[in-house]
Amino acid sequence: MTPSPTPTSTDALPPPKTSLAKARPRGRNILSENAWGFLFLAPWIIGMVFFMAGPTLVSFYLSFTSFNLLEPPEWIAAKNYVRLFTQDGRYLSALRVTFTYVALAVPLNLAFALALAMVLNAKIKGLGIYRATYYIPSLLGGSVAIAILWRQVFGFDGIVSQALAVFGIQGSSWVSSPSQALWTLIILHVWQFGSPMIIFLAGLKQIPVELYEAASVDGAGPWRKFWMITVPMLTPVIFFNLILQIINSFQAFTPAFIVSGGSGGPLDSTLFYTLYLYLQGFANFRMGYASAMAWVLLVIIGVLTALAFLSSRYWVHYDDSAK
Amino acid sequence: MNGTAMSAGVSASEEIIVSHIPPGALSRRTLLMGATALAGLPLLSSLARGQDKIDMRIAWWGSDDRHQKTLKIIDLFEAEHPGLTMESQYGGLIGYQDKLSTEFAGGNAPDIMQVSDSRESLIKSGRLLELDDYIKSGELNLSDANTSVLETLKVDGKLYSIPWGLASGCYFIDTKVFADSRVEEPGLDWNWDGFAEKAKAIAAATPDGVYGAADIWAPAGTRSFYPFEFFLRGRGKTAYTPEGKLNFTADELTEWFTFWDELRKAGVVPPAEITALETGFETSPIVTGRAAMYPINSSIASSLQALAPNPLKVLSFPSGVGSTALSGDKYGAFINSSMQVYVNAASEHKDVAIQFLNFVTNSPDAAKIHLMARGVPLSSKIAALVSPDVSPIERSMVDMIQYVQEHAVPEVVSWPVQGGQIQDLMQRSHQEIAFGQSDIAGTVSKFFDEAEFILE
Repeated sequence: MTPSPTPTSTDALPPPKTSLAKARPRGRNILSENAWGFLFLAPWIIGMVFFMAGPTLVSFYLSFTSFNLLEPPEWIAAKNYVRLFTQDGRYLSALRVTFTYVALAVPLNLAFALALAMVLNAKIKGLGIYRATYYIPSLLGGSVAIAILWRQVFGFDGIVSQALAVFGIQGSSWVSSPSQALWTLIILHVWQFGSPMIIFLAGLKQIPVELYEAASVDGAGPWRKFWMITVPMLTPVIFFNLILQIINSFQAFTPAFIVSGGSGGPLDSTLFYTLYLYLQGFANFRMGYASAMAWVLLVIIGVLTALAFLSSRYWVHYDDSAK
Repeated sequence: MNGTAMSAGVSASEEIIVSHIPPGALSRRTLLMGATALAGLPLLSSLARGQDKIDMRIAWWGSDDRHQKTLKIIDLFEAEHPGLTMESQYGGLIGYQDKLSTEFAGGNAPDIMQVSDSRESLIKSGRLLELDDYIKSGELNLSDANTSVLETLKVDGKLYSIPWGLASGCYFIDTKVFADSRVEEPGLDWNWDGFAEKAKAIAAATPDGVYGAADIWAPAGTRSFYPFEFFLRGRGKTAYTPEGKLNFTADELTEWFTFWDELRKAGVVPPAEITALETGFETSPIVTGRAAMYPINSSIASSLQALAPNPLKVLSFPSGVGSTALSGDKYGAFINSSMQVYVNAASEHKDVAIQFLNFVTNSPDAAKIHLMARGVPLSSKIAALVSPDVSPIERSMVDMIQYVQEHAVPEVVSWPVQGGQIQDLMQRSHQEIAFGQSDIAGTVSKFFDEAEFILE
């Protein structure tokens, strides 16, 4: 999983200092160029090694230990992993909640973003203002303040209940009902459609107008044009958004933490994977167990992303093949 | 000390060197002397400052009222200790312990702190300072403190903390709802039958949507485990064995769940959806006007009163004495360890930290600021001193604490390290019953299964 920042060919070469003395023009040039490159990359590489790769490797080690932060870790081999899948009922319900969330929130979010991008792709006056306005929820969406607001909106006397009451529907408290609480989080995610929308918008602009014109001449209606031209031409962008959204929603944490008051409740109905991981690590001080959970999550996301890539050759169309 | 010795040593050797220099170079000698003096001066002065200048950190959680009072006390303490800078780290309870434990793991925990959850594991790993020596030497003066309370706070016979205020699990009651419903206020000696009776009477007398009492698993309240422990102690038992295993039976847990389930089904305590809405005592049913009685720790009395629409009163927890429901022949409630203040065993300024503990325990000036922001003062002298200044809610809190101190069964078995997780499990179990996801028998057997997994 670790990206390798350096081309492998340079690894075998001697360090730049010695080669500077020798007069081998071409090799020297490449090397000194690389040396400068590494120098400029140094802050990033050092940060990567010490703040990313190091802790990541340590967490892999910790996942085989019992570690409560205060006493030294104790090696227990694969016990954490065995425990996760055979003994921990809450872990399985966290998996269920997370998969449900991803399966519903990601397609809804993408559909919504695409719909809005289509609307904003039209030639209307003051389009820039609309675009900026629709992007605002994405800037706010991940924040604590919005999660608190969400609790109020979907609470017992919240706006949603009041609005439903106008139509004679008996409102309930969405956030505190085990069957509905997850939906409030899905809606919150869908509401943050801004960044996929912007990417879709860019994709839509790339579709040649001639295609639509030709289709119009042939008598195709808007629905047919959408399915036969827009969607196929947009598949690379859809694919890109899909991957980003899958990774993003598996790692969702803040909304569930705030909306459920840090517990994943009511009745574990909003116990997201990362929230349960956090509770095990920082509330129950089972750092080893939490590390094991993190690595399983990495594998899950990795497998799903790989599947998406494998499937992509059947449904994603790149324009270059036509040329 | 080091600095002075060093600069003296340097100038002595300069003396030897310059004595070999011919007279003509006198200016050089002066120069050298001057340079030495110049080099030594900042060393000396920084040393002087270093001796007086102390940086310390203190951490606590609470609401704004407590923050403001604590900050003023710290200012006062700093004024008495020139050169001392006390950095404050405060906020709400959610996330407090997470941050503190992470700081301990990173070796930069505060010098003085309150601990919300994992005091047992912190003590076990030697992170908290044992106070007995300082009490013996008189640096920490506890002569006016109630010693039986201190006994209950000891872990393996040693004292690691002193209460910054005495507190216990209690019921807050809304006196206006009681008066409007023409229900007589209960006394401190009430029992569970009396509780159920009062709650039913209020639920009957108030409009729909107002309940007699909040549910016992109120998320910010007691999470049901403390009250359950009180109930067990009423029967002469404890919640845990000294080895940290559960010390109660399925029958006792069933009895407890059943008592609350019946009240819930009768519409005397709110349905699950309303109880689950609570995120902190700020959104509790006694603040939103949905329930007339609310169980939580008494230490928040003044903060809760500030938010509640009507005058509140503090009552002790109902006991099982003379009760048919949840019966028991002893008084189970006890003074708990929630508002304790600890010293970091790795602090560089333990003596100053102890002085601070002594200051908050015995200083009349600090007490006049603090009043009862963390409960009733530990020192009886100080409690008597501030009593005239406190609000009615705090006066009723003093009565309650006194009642509990007089009646409590002495023996307390401290929770195992995983106590907080068992408390969460208790809360989830109540939820399962309240949301109708599982019947009582199923929930009880699941409770013991999960508890075994947690306590393993």
